[in-house]
Parts: sequence; structure tokens; C-alpha cells
Amino acid sequence: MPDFAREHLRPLMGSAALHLALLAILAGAALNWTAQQPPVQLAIEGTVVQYKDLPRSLRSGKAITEPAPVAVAPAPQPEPVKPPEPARDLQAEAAKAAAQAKEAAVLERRRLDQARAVEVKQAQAREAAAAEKHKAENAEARHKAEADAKLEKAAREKAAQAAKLKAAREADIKRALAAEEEGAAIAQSGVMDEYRALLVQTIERNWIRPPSARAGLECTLNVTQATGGTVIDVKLGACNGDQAVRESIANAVYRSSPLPAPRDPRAFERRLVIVFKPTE
Amino acid sequence: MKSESVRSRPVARRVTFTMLAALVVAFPVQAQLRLDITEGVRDAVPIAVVPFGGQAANAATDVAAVVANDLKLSGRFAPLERADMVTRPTSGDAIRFQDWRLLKSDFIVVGRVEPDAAGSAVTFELFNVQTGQPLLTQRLPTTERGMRATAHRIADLVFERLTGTPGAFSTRVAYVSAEGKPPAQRYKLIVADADGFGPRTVMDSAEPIMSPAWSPDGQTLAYVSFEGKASSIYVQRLASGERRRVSARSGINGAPAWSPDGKRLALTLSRDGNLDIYTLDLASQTLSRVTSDSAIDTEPEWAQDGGSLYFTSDRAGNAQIYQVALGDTREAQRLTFTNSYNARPRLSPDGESLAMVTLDRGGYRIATLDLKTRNLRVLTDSTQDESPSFAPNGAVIIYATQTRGRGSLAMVSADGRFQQRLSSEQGDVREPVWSPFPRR
Amino acid sequence: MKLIHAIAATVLALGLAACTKPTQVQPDAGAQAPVTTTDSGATTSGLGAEGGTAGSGATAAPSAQQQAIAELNAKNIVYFAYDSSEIQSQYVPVVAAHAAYLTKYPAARMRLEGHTDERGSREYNIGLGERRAQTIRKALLLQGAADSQITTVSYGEERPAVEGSDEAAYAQNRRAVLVEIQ
Repeated sequence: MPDFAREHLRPLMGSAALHLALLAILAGAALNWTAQQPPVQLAIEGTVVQYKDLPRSLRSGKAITEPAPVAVAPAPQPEPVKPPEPARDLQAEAAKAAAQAKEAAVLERRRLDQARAVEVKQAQAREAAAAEKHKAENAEARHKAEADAKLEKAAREKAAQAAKLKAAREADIKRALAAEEEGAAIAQSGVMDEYRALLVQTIERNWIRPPSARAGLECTLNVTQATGGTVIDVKLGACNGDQAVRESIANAVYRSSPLPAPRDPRAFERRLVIVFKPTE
Repeated sequence: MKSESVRSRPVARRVTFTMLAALVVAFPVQAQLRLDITEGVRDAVPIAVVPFGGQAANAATDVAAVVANDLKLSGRFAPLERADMVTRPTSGDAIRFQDWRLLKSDFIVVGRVEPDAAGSAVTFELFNVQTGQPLLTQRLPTTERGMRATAHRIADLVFERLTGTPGAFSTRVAYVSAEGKPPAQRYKLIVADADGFGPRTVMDSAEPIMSPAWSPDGQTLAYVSFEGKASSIYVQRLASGERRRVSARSGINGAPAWSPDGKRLALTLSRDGNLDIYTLDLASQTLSRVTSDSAIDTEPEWAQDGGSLYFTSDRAGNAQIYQVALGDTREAQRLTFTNSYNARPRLSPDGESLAMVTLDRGGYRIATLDLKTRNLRVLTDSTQDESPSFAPNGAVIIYATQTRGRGSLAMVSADGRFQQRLSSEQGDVREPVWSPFPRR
Repeated sequence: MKLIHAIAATVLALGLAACTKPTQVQPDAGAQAPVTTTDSGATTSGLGAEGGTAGSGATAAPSAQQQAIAELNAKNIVYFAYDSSEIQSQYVPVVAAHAAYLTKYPAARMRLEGHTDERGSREYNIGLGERRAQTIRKALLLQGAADSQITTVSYGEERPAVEGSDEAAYAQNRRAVLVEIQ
């Protein structure tokens, strides 16, 4: 490397000078550019904050949903440098000078080209780096966006699932309500009332009320019957009666077994909730 | 449904969902049928008391028969007829509950008598027929002589397990019988078991006997005797038959009532020409006056704390029940305002009601007055009822009535549901009074 | 009670004495000593009866007083209306006759018994019977009898005259009995 520098000192110097000049132009342009940035019309009201202007604490990179604004300005195209026109008198000199100049120009051009190439390469490298950075940032942003999108998607899916469940449940409710309506229809048609009255009558006939079963008593039995009316299970629920009462109500149900069948088989109910509540 | 402002769609959806969910809970997909039972039948509970094993055919005491009869007398149970018993198990493991369910029995008692070191032992077992669940079993050592008392004890235990109330089958009743046609009648004071078994005459007279009263320890009877053509009050120890005349003041001596501590008698005297109530200290013979008006004041009955007396008085123009505090006898409170005649108050063992005779729809009937609500409830529907007396468990009231023109005894449950007549073998019987629980 | 009535009644009673029916024995069982039987089987006799028995049997020719007693005891029941202890007018002569006798014979003694029908409570009926006896007693005292000559006792419903649960029987049992003893 030091040999190359020694051999090509002049082009290098020129190149460096050119670089400096270009950088100066770039800097000036960038600065100008910043100052002259027109106000951005945004769809939502808000203060646009440059990422680099954010205090360090907010630069952590988290929870920034909007992708970081690309603050890299593309390198401005350098203006092609015109080679100087050679003079006509002193044609030979001129020719020689021209030739020299031409040569120099060619050299110059070659050098410039080289420099430009280097510069371009550097710019390209820089660009590439910037681009990579940009790409990385973009990728990051994209990842973030992807992640967000994924989250959103997941959320959406969940919502969709929930909605599906809800829909399913609503459908169930609808079905239950429909069944209920049908049941209500049956009830309204009197079949249920009849069945209920039949059961009540049978149990009342078999309930030997002890003297302690006075008004104010309330005891519940949860009874399960088989299809034929046979009492399969009797469970005592809430009850404020004494032992004689508890035994009497359980016996009342057992003694009523098998329970009578409803006129309309659709009214049959396996599970009965029997509430003993004497009125006087 | 509550009206809620819809804030935003998501909230509205949530609300609707909750309400729908609530509907789902209230009307589960799995249905239940609800029945409301508001009344039953007021029958006696069917029970099977199976003849006990190990008893000779001619045994002096048929234990199962005594138990069944006791339960029947209480009015709460309807024992199965022996003729209907297809099998006669004597122990729980021999019971086929299905058979007894078919016979519509709710409960079953089985047992056996076996020889024991000191004599015999009676073992009994009580089951719920519907569920097959064993409820009670006990082994009671006894003797041949004590067999009947043991049977009563078994009835007490079964009764208490099934009703929650202690049985009163090991108690006694005292009553008066009159034989012969008036005016030539002969009077007796009789003590028998509560089921009427084994009546024994403890006093016999040509003159009327009235108002027997058990002392709180169940050992002594006070009564009014007209021997000597005037009424006097006697106190007689049952075990020995010895008696003391405790009041023979001029005029009337009547209506003796023992104080709860057994030390005093409230009684009725007519020293001033009209009936008034006094208390007499038995040890010192000190007399204290309680009422002093010109009306008829009689039939005193002690309150549970011994601090006041309930009594009959016609100071308001006709017979009504009053209460007076012994500490301040100046004013008596009237307790009965229903019907034109209420007399002969007797306090229930729990101190919450008074049994009495009331003139209800033209007939003299037994009624109870709830001391808290002052509500009068008529228990009987015959027309000649009198002398009510509570069993010591408060479940039953024994009283006197007329059957085919003759005095007889009857029982009614304290709530008026069950009534039955007791057969009267000895002429005209009246004034039954139930002993306290025997002191153990 | 007016004196003129009492005199008229006395005259009437004496006039009727000539044509009275044969003696009716009053429903008063002999006062035998009550026998107490006990659990141990021993028999204790109770106290002797106080106040002698009604002496209705005479061996020798009855004296005028004894005859008067017999006649009075033949007409010595005053009946009462239901739940009442008021002396009804038709019985005023009866009371007057006895009063006259007592006044005439200061050593005479009588027993007044009050009775009721069987309805209602027994001890309360003792009170009603006593009230009836007391009413008669007051009437006798007003007509000249002395307090010490009269003993009252109430039997309430315990000693009915007739058996029965109808109004006729009740009417017969609601009474006061004036028993001349000596």
C-alpha cells in the first residue's frame, strides 16, 4: 500500500481533493436539504419526531411501531467534469499541449474515473453499508412488522376463534331456547302442567306430615327417576326441618315409587326438584 | 333486562354475551322439573312391630304387643296387624325390606328375648323400611317382672327416635271412678299405667273424690275428699298408702295444685263466703291469700317458675282464665277473650300453652291457648269434655268425656290431629291426671 | 222478702202439713267412714263423719219438732235456672218454711247443699253450687235464722240427683237442698 501511494501520489492527491470537494458539496446539500425540508402533511395529527432527535432513553428501539424513518439521503450524482478546451495557435504546441492536455485529460479522466470508481465504489460501499443498514433496519422493522403482524394475526385468529366459540355458544343457546320453546310449547299445551300435577298429587298423598312440619318449613329433595318412574336416587338439599320431617319427606318419595308416567312421553323428566313447603 | 347504554360495540357484545350466558345458566340445556308440595296427609305413620323372638306363647308380657299398643295410643303411629305379617324376622339381617315395602310400612321393629346372667335381656332393632337403613338398636337387661316396664321403655326409645319427642309410655295416670247409680254412688281413686294396664285403687269412699294432683316427684297424690260431708284436702303417699289431711277449713277446700318445688299447694277456700285462692306451705301450714274479690276464683295452676298462678275466675261475669303474680297479687291479667266460658287451666310441660275447657259452638270442648300469641285452638269436637291433663312430654292430652252417657277417658294429640277413646271398664270415670316422668 | 209473705207461707205450710204425702227419704247416703285401701293391702279407715246422720227413723210417736223436720225435708229442694243462683218465685215458700222453723227452734240445725248440672269444669261448679247455697243462706238469715244454725256445703256436679245428659236431667240437678238435721 505505501508503494502504491508513492507511485500514484498526484492522482491520489487529486482524488483526495476531489473527494473533499464532493463531500463538501454533499454536506452542504444535506444541510440545506434538512433546513429546507417542507412540512409533511400527515394523515393523523401528531408531532413528527426524527429518531435521531429522540432522547437516548427513547432510542432503545422498543415499541416503536412505525418503522424508523430512513434518514439516509441518497448520494447526489456528481456533475461530470468537462475537460478544458485546448488553444489553436501554437498548433504544434497546442497540438502537443493539446496532446499533453489530452493525455493529461485522459490521464486525468482515467484518474477521475478511477477516483470516481473508487469513490463510486466507496459510495457504493457506503451505500451498500447504508443500504445494508437500511436493509437491516428495514429487516428489523420488517421483523417487527412481521412479528406485529403475527401477533395481530394471532390476535385476529384468537378473536376469530372466540367469535367462533361465541357463535357456537349462541347457536347452542339458540338451540336450547328453541328446545325451551318447544318445552314451553309443550308446557303451554298443558301436558307439563298435567304431569306436574300428577306427580304432586301422588307425593302429597304419600307424605305423612309430622306435627313438626309447620308453615315455614322448606325442604328440597333432588330426585332421579328411571324411565319407568322408579325412584333411583333421593338426595336431600337445603332443609330447615327436624329429623322426623327429613325422614317423612324421603319416605314420601320412596313410597310414591314408581312415579306415574306423563300422558305425553315428551314431558317426562328424569330429574325432579321437589320442594316441601306446607302452607299451614 | 337492564338497560345499559352501549358504549362501544365491543362492550355491547360483551354485555349481550353475558346476558345470554346467564340465560344459559338459568335454563340449562339439561332440564329439571320442579314440584311444589304444600300439604300431606295427617295420618299415623305405618310401622310394623314384629313379635319378638324367644317369647313363650303364654308369656306374661307380649313385648311387641305392648310396644305396638303404646305407639298406637300416642296417635302418631299405625301398627301393622299381626295377621298381615307374612314373615316374622327377629333380627335385622333376616328382614327382606321389599316385603315390608309392599305392606306399606315405613318402619319396622324386630327383636328377641334371650336369657341373661341376671334374668333376661331384650334386644330390639329399628329400621327404615324404605331405605333399609338401621336407625336404632339396644339391648336391655330385665327380669320377668320387669318385662312390661322394659317394653314401655322400648316404645319410649322408638318414639323418641322417630319423632324427636321423648316417649311418655313409662308413666302413670290417676283418675276417679264412680260406680252405682246416683244418688247411691261409690267413689274410687285409681292409679294405672299410662296405657291403662294394672289399675289399682288407692282410695275408696262413699263420698265424692275430686281433683287428684300428682306431686312433682310422682310419689304423692293430693285430692279432695267429701268424707264427713264436707270437702277437705288430703295428701297421700302412693307407696305406703299413708295420708295426711292438710286443709279442712270451714266451707270449701278444693282444687289442690302442687308448686313446681313440691313444697306448697295452691288451693281454693271459701272462708269469706265466696271462693278464693290461697297458697299453703305444707311444712309450716302457713296460709297466704292470693285473690280477694267476690267472684268465684278457683282451679289454680302454677307457672313453671313458681312465681305466678293461672286460675279460673268469673269476675268479668263469666268464667275466664286469669294470671296473677304471687309477688303482687293486686291485679290479675285476663288471658282468654274467645268464647263465653273458659275454665280449668293446665300448663303444658314446655310452659308455652294452657289446656282448658272452653264453650265452643254450644259444646264444652278441650282447647289450648298459646301463651305467646293468645290464640285459642279447639282440639276436640265432642260436647261434654273436661279435665284436660298433659302427658309429661307435652305430646298428648288426656281428658274426660262422655261415651254413651257414661264418663270415659280419651286422648288427643297436643295439636288436635289424633284422638282416641280409652275403654272404661270401671263404671263412670273422670278427672284423669297424668303423672310426671318417673325419676330415674 | 216481705214479712207478710213469710207469715202466709208459714200458715200455708202448716195447713198443708195435714195432707202431706208419705215421707220421702232425702238423697243422702249414710255417712259411713271411708275405707282407704293401700298398695300393701292394709286397710286404713278414714276419719269419722262429722255432723250426725239424718235422723228420719223414729221409734216412738214423733214429736211436733220431729214431724216438722220430716215435713220440711219432704219439701226442701230449690231448683235453679241455668247458670243462675237466683231464687225463683215458686220456691220462696220453701225457703220461708225452713226459715220459720229455724227461727222457731233456736237449737235447730240444718245443712244447705248446693248442686249444679254436669256441664263445665268440676271445681268451678263447686263454686256455682256454693253460690246457690249462699243465696239460700242469706235468704234464711234475712228471715230470722241464725248464722250458727246453718252449715253449707257445695257438691258441684259430684252428686247428681238423676243421671242423664239432656236438659231434663240438667234441670233436676241444678238445685239447693235444705236438710234439717235436728
